[in-house]
Parts: sequence; structure tokens; C-alpha cells
Amino acid sequence: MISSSEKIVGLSEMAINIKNHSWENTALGSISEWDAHLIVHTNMILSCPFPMMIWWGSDLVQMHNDACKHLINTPQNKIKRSLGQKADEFWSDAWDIILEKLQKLKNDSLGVFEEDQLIPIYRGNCLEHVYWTFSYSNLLDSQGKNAGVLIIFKETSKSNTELRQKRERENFLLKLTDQLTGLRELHDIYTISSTSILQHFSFYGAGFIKTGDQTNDFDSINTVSDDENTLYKADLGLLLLKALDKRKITHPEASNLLVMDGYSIKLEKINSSEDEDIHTYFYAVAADSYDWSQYKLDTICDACKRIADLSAIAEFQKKLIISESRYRSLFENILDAFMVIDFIFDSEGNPVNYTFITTNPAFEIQSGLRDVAGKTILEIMPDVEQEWISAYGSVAITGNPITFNQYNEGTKRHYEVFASSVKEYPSQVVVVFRDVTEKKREVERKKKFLNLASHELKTPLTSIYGYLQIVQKLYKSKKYDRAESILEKSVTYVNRMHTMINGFLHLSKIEDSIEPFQRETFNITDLVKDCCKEAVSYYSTHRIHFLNSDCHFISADRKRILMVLQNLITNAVQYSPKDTAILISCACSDTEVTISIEDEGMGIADYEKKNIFKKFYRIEDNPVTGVSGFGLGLYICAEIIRQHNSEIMVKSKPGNGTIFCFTLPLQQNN
Amino acid sequence: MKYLKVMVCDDHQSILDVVQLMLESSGFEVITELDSTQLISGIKKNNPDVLLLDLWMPVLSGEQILALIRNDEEIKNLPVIVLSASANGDDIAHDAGANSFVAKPFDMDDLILKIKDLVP
Repeated sequence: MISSSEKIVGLSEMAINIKNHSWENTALGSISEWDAHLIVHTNMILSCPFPMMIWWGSDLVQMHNDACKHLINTPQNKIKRSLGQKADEFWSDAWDIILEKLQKLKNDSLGVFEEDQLIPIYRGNCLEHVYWTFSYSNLLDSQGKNAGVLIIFKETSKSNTELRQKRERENFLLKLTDQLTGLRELHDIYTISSTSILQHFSFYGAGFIKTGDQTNDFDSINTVSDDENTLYKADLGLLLLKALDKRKITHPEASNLLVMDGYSIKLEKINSSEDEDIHTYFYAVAADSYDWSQYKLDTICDACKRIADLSAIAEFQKKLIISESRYRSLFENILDAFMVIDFIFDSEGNPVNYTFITTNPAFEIQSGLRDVAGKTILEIMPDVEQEWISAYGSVAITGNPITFNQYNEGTKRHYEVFASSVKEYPSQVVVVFRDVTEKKREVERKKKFLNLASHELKTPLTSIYGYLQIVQKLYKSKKYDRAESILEKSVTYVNRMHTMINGFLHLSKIEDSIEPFQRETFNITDLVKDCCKEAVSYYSTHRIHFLNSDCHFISADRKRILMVLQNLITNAVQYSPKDTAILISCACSDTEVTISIEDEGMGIADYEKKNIFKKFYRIEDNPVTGVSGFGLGLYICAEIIRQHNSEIMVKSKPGNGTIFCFTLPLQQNN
Repeated sequence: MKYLKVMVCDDHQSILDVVQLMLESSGFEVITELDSTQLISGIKKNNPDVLLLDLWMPVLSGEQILALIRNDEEIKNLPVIVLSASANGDDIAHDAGANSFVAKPFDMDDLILKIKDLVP
């Protein structure tokens, strides 16, 4: 019979240990009593260079091969103690996990296989985070029943560290990205990222600084520090100043790790300004003995890349928002009405209705339609002219923009309309419309004025032409004496035409503000006196008198005031009977001068008083003399006096003469 | 020879003066009227052979006067020549019921010819 020790094969250390172990103290009993299969299994593991263990029996008594030794890493006596130990006692630190696996094994005859499983155990003197790749499988005894567990295992901690670190770094960067995404302010980005990094790496302080090539200044943006350390913000500042001192940074591109004054400082470049003049750095401060592993340096580098990207995105988004708000501001404030509409077609593809998608405030003002978004035009204005719908509809169908002018019955105004289609949404049309009613009215006014002017000019022209024809006839029949007086009359009418023409030229200049207002200081009394003198010699039909009061200087447009005087005098002459008096006076107070022209003419009724200053207005009663001209004189006078911040007043009663007067301020310092 | 009596109505005295001089120097008898509201009674009183009528007048326009004349049994057949400063006075004159039209500023000979044409 083979001796029990001889049943165990091999000369490996564990083989010898197993042979010499006092197994009789264990549940297994001496080797001679062992189940035959246990011997076979034991020999198998002893001959295998891969770490293997056997746990046998209900006590799960343990034995293992040589390869396990350093894995279990026990001091010499522990190796011995590991042999024959109950598994639950030996692996007590990790038994919860192991038991779980054994339960799994009971349910799964194919065994349990785990990769990179963390099962911490005590090794040396401390609890280590050890990663294992292992399998548990059932061992049968000679009766064919499950009697033990085969454990094949390998520690994977080392390669696992790299994996683990990689994962850790990824998680950190993911978390950082999460925290920073959506932030728009650089300030927030910098604060949150510094805090995150500081906490993750347990630095003394972290933050961002801006520094220029040309200057020694730097802007510390968001310094965060670990308050439990004695590194206060002031110290941090000084430290950074030193670190950033030109002599220490050789090149803006360098990512520096500096050790000085008992601290270690890491600088990482984030970005530079567009002109490459100002650079932003991330910095971290730790003790000078801090372990700057490659992993940490790499992680910080990656984190800074993220921060640079996210801050660029934030800046860009900010610009986008500003641009959007500018566009929106334009949209809201522009004076042109704007609308976007979406067309509805009938079964034949004809545009029959449209929905309002969006409108701007100018649209609401111009059209009087409010809160139309989502409603259709036929809902809001069932009587709208079909041509509007067809016109816009044609844009949607053809895709070609159109411009046209149209009068809208609903609002009673004229519009210049521009409509174009929207590329991405062919049924949508964008319309801008400008209220040109005022412009059109202006054009109408001008046309009317032109017609009236040419009509009126034809009257004196008729006289001139008529008289010239008569003179021609007189010359033919040699009646020269009569010719002279007739020619004189013609000259008068020529002058009248000239006055008329000047009248409208001046009017148009006033209206278009072409003739510039020219203020000068002059003696008003002198002007009025001269004007009167001229009138006296010109109008022999009336008695014209000047009533003087000692006035002085005013500041006004001399030419225009003269024109007013001449006009009012002419009116007085034309609207009062021959041989009556016209009184022109210039009366002063301390501060102002009042000029008035009084006649003994037909007077003006109360209801006419407001009308006489209107453009083209002519009193329709019988004038005593045939008054030509066409009602511009008083309009122009009133405008001129208005331009001087004053008003022409009229006092009159029918049959009792009329006084026209106006007041101007005197020039104070004479 | 019988003198033709011409009545002229225009709201401008200057036009009345020159037409009067023109026609009197050619042998017509001329009656002038400045106020269109007095015209109808003036026609009935003076019984002219021809009426020269300005279209564009305040209060009562030439067209309105013509309508009154044509609806008045006594004077509806009075020959009327319309004076106008408008370019398309021709159409207006015809539509209003005038017999002839002369544009301002008018040719003296043309006017005289038209007057003579209307009076048989």
C-alpha cells in the first residue's frame, strides 16, 4: 500500500507543506482517510502553475498550490495558517462577497466566473482594494456528490488600476462637463470648475488667471481655496504673482509645474485672446510634497481642454443671444409692419385663406388687428378683398417675391407691400408693408397744387394774350394811341403772374424747408418804415400811413418778415375801397414789438377768420376789385410768423375794416 | 347790320375786361357778369344771342349753370360757349351741354369765329 504521504505527488513547497500538515486536527482527518477524489484534485492543483485553491467538505477546509503564495501575501506563519483553515475564517474580511458567490455556485452547475471583481482583503497590515479574476466550480467526491469547491484565480489589480483610473478620470470629466454645460457666464464656468477640481484632487487652492504678454498684471478670476489649510487668498495671490513672473514662464504655451516656497503650482493654459495678447491659465496649488502622478496631470490637462471648449461655447451662445435680441428688437421696434402667414389651399391648389403665424407691434398699429397669431384672415376680416389673398398666395405658389401698392378698404390707407416666400416652408409667406398714405397724400396734394397753379396762371396769361392780340389788330389799323394803355395793362398782368409764381416757389421752399431760415439782428422800425414808403409810391389808390413808436432791434429772418409786411399791405389794398386809409404801426413794450396793418375794407366775418389762413382759401364774397391770386398769401404769412414762434392775429367785423397784427420779441441787450 | 349781343360770365374781372375789349373792338355788344348767381336773371333780362361761360367758378360752377339753362323753358336753347383753363374742357363742355368750347388763353379770331358760327 502507498503511504499516505506518497499519495500526494510532487516536490513543490506546498506539496511538502501539505504532506507534513497535521490534517488529523481538521475536519478532513489524516491524508489516509481522505476521499480518493480529493487526492486527485489536490495533486492536480499541486502540478498546476496557475493559482488554485480547494475548499473541501462542509467546513470548506482550504488548501492551495505554490502559485497562490504571493497572492495571498501572508507572512510565513500565515501561509502555514492558510493551509487547513476553514475558508470562512481565513477569508473573513471578504466572506460576505465570497458566500454570495458560493450561493450562486449552488444554483449554477456551470460554475461562477468573475472578472476584475473587487474583493478587499488584508494584506501586509492594511486592507487593500484587490481586484480578482476567478472561477468557482464544483468538485465531486468518489460518490459523485458535490464535496468541494475549486477556486482558480488571479489578481488583476495592477492592470486594473489603469482601467480604474481611466474610468475615474472619465467619470470626473463627465461630471465636470455636466456641471458646466448650459452655463453662459464665464464667471460661473470658472468658479464651478475650480471648485470641482480642487475637491477632486484635494488641492490647497485652484482658479483661473488672465495675464498679458505685454503687462505684468494679472486678473485672478475665481480663486477657490481649501479653507482648512492655512493658505489664504492673499498668500495665494502673491504666490501666483511670483509664479507668473516673466522669468518663470518661458513660453506662453508651456504647461508649467513649479515648486517654490514650500508649494507646488500647476499652470495649464486655457486659451488666448484673438490677438494672442492675453492668455488665460488654470492654476492649482498644493504642498510641495504633493504627488503629481501622470494620471493627475493628464486629468487636469483633459479637464482644462473641456473648460476651454465649454467656455468657447458659452461665449458663442452669448453672442447668439445678443444677436437674437438685436434682431428681436428690430422686429419689435421697426416702423414697417411685418407678418408671416401660412397658406391654406383648396382641392385645386388655389389659395383660399391664410393663418397668421407671427406679427410685430408695427403690424398691430398699422392694421388695427391684435392677437391674430393662430387665427386666419377670413376669421378676422371676412370681408377682406380676395385680391390680397390671391396676391400673397401667388408668392407661396411660385416662390417669386412681389412688390405692389394697394389700398386697403378696411383700414382706409395705402400700402407699399413686399412679399416673399420662405424657402424651408413653401406654404409660408413673409410680408412687409409700409404705410405710404401720407406720402401718397402728399403726392396728391402736390398734383392738386400744380393743377391749381397752372389753372390760376392761365387767367392773367389770358389777359396778356388777349391784350397783345388787340394791340396787333390796332397796329394793323394804325390806331397806335390806344395801344399804349393796353400794353401797360399787359405789363401789369405780367407782374401779377410773376408775383404768383414767386408765391408758389416760396411756398414750396417753405414746405420743403429749402430756403434756410436766416436769423439776423436788425432794426424793425426801419424795415417797416421802408416798406411803407415803397407801398405809398406803388399804390396810388389808397392813403397809406406809418405810425411810429420808437422801437429797436429784433432777431428774425429779415427777408421773410419783409414778405409778410408786403403781403399784408397788398391784401389791405386789394380788400378795401379806393381812397380809404391803411394804417401801419410798429408799437413797442419793454420786451416786444407789435406790428399791425389796419384797413377800412369789407371786414372778415368771424366764421371766416380761421379759414383765411388756410392754403388756397379765397373768400368767396364779391371782392370790390377783381382779386386775383389764389389764397396763398395769408397762408405763407402765417407760416413765417409761426416759424418765429409767434402767431398772426386778425381783428375784424364785416363792413368795419380789418386789423392784422403779430408780435415779436425785442432783442434785449442792445 | 345787326349787332350780336354777347354775354360773358367769369369770376375774374380781368378776363371780363379783356374779352369785352376784344369783342367790342370787333363790333359786338358785350354784357359782363362777375357773379354767377346773378347770371340766370341777367340772361333773361338782357336776352343775349350767345353766352360765354367760364367753367370753374366758385359758388355756382359753369356746369351747374348750364344745367339750369338747359332745364329752363325760356332759355334752354341759348347757345353757350364754355371757357376753360382745363386741358380736357372739350369733353366736359360737351357732356355739360355746351355748344362749343374755347381754351384759355384763347385766340381772339378763333373765339369770334365760334361765336359767329353759333348764331345763324
